[in-house]
Amino acid sequence: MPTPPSADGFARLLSRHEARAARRLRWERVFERWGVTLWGLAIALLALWLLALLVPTVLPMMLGTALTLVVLAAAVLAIEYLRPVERKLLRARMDEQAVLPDVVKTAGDWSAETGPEAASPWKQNQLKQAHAQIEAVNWATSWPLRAPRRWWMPVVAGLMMVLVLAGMRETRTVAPVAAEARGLNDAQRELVRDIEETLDDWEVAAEEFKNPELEKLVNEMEPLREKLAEGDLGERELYLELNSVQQRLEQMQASLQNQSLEALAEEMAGAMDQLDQAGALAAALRRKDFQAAQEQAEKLADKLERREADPPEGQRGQQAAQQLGQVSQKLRQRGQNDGARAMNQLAQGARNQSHQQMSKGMRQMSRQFQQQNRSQNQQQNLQHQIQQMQAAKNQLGQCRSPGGGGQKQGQGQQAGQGQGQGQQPGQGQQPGQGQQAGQGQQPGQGQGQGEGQGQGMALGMPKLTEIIRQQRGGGAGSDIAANKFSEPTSLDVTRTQEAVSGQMNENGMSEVTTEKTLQPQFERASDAVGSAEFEVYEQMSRQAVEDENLPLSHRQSIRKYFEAIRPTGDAVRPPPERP
Amino acid sequence: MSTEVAAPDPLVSQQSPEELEAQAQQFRHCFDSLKTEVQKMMVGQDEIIEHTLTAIIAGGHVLLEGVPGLGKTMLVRSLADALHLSFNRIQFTPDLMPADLVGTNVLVEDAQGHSSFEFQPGPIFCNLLLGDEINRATPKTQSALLEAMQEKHVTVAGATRHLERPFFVLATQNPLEMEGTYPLPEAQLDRFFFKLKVPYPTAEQFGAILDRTTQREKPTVSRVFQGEDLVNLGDFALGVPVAPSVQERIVQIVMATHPETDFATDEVKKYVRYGASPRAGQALILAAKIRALREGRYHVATEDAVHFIHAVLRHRVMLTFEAQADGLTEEQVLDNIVAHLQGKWKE
Repeated sequence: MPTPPSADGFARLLSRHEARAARRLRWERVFERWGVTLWGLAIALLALWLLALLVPTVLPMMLGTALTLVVLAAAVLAIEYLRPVERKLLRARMDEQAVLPDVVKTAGDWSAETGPEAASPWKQNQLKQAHAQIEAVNWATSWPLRAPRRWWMPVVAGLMMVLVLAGMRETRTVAPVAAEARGLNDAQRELVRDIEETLDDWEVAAEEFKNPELEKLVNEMEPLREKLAEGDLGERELYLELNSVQQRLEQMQASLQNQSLEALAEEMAGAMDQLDQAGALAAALRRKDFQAAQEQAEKLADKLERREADPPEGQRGQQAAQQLGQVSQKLRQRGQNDGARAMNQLAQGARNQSHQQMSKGMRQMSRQFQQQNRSQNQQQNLQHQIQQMQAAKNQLGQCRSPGGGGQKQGQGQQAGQGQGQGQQPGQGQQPGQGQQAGQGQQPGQGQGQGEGQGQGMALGMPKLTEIIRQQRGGGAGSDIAANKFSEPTSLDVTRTQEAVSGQMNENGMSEVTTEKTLQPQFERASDAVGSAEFEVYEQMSRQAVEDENLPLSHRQSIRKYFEAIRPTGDAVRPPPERP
Repeated sequence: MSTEVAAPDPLVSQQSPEELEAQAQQFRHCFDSLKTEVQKMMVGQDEIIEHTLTAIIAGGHVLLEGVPGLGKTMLVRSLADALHLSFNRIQFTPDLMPADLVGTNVLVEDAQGHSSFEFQPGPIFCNLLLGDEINRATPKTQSALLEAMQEKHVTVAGATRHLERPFFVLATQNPLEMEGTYPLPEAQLDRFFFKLKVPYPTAEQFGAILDRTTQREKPTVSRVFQGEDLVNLGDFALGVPVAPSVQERIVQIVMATHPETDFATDEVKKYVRYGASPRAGQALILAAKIRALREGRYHVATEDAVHFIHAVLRHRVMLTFEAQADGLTEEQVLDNIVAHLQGKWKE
């Protein structure tokens, strides 16, 4: 037996070997946890991958979540390594690994002893023996550590799957995490998606219909869209942004109204009354139906060219020239120089008894009426957009209240109930016609017509693209009239619509204000369609009235009915003579 | 032929580490010599021989369980010859009376015709007693033997008579033919240091037995050392120290056999009716000390105690009827306890 070192020497030897063994024990614990942790990580990554495939909104946060999972797994392993090692357990493991039957354990107990007990020859001999045995231990061979390398495979595979899918991340995806972080609830996040859909619709409309005003507006909306895509908007910021958009739209609408001929339509009609065969044109102007006015102006210009109509003569001509001149002057004062020139041309023609000047002026006016008609459509679009923003603001306020979600749900049900109603294939009606067809609900009850082509509705309103298509005669069969915000159905152009809007105050409450606006005249487009068939029906009804032995009062009622539904712009024709 | 060796003197071992080392080597030599001598007569049964020698050195008695003809008597006789000890054999039967065992006072007439009672010692007065089929004797006779085993003396007619030292009892039990037997009560079983189950020899060993016993020349056993030397070996082994942490584990092993303790496993709680007594702990440590010396160590290791766990605890653990119905043996329960504790010690 070799000469034993001192007690201190043995303590140092034991301490040194304990430190080596402790490192191996820590690594062993890490490797024991290795499998569970890495498999757990791999399964979590796979689940994340599948979730991202099923729910695209998860995509933006997938990479971050995957990295978080990897960091968590690493933290678990690090904690396992850093966890304190109990000395009693360590010595037992040293004995086990080095196949030393309780040598380290016993030597550890006895080396700490002092006094006469420590001087026992038995214990001295044991310490000598332990010293020799411990010193001979090679821990690398006695306690081999083998990292289970194959367990890397699922983790690497999972990470690669995540990275590949993360590359497919869409730029304009709402980040629910960010939205949650901004304190938006589910209903508000849904509203954000609706607003995004609406703005996307505006962009599509601007690109599809080459509308410079709309393109300009869409460009101005770009920062808002980016914020929405990043979910970087709180409730208050969102409300302010919507308010800003609405104000911008109202400014555009006011600008259009300033350039409108509507304000002088009555005076223009009065001047036209002085011209020969211009009654229908004057009537159309009084109705502010500039589409009909353009048609009548074209017809009149043709008649003047063919000399089927004549300029007013004598005093009537002077009076007409004077009135046309006055209107021309007013148009010039409003900055509508083209209109002023056209009116002036007409005035000159009336004064000079010139068919050519009159025809030329009438054609210029026709172009003005055409522009005005487009401006009306533009205003209608703007009105629709303003309503969309107003609806979004209202809905945002409702989402804040505890019952907000329920209200929105109710609106969704209204929209759903109307699916399939108002289908008029091939009609190409403007929005609102479907509502007229036997609906007649009161404002606020919700129409729920649904969209005939199954297209979505941003903020519960018809899409702007659909409205513009219909204005241009497209969108056959797409009878869009759904309004889950309970927009009133317009049966009468003169009726008013009450719109409720709110302004958030410091306490988060809304100050509700009510404003009355004119309902957009959606029904006019239907006249073009209705007029095509009107004559047929009118002829048939007259024939029926004449053929049947009906009381006189009934005949008058039928005649009044057809007079009432006569499309605008059609001149009243005398009934055909009885055979 | 005598190959007698000197047993270590326990008092000398206190002098210096070097002398202790020499004593330990002497202990191993004695043990191995004794074992070699016995193995001249006994073929195979190494574990039985080793355990029996350990029990004898530790001063304990052994209960051997096995079918007839496995060499139990041969083992005891060989030990007696090797140690130069007096040997007696008693065949226990139901009509065996305590007096037949311990002896009795008989009326004796001297030359003058005077009569007096004279103590006639029974077969128990020897160094090494083989009690064959101890479970066939009545409890009264069994308890007379067990008193002698524990107290190392007998009382006859009010007179206490000490037995010779050393005194060892090796009792046998036949696990078959249990009809008409009187199984030893738990308290009496506890007096046995070890309970050893003598296995049937393997085919190879069986052939060797036939070779060795069917020839004209029979093997003989030489005396290795005196009976007093055996006592010295035991005293020397008592000096082996036990580290507190190892002793704690041995305590846990014994405590784990008690269903009412926190150390008990679910299996113990379900299948064990009574656990081992403190004597079991003593036996485990004593046997472990002897084994540690034999292994060349100066300390007791847990594995030393675990090595003897079946021999020490199998007759001290009483299973429930449910365990018997489920075919569970004491050895299985003990193995499961050790496995459970070894797992716990790694945590």
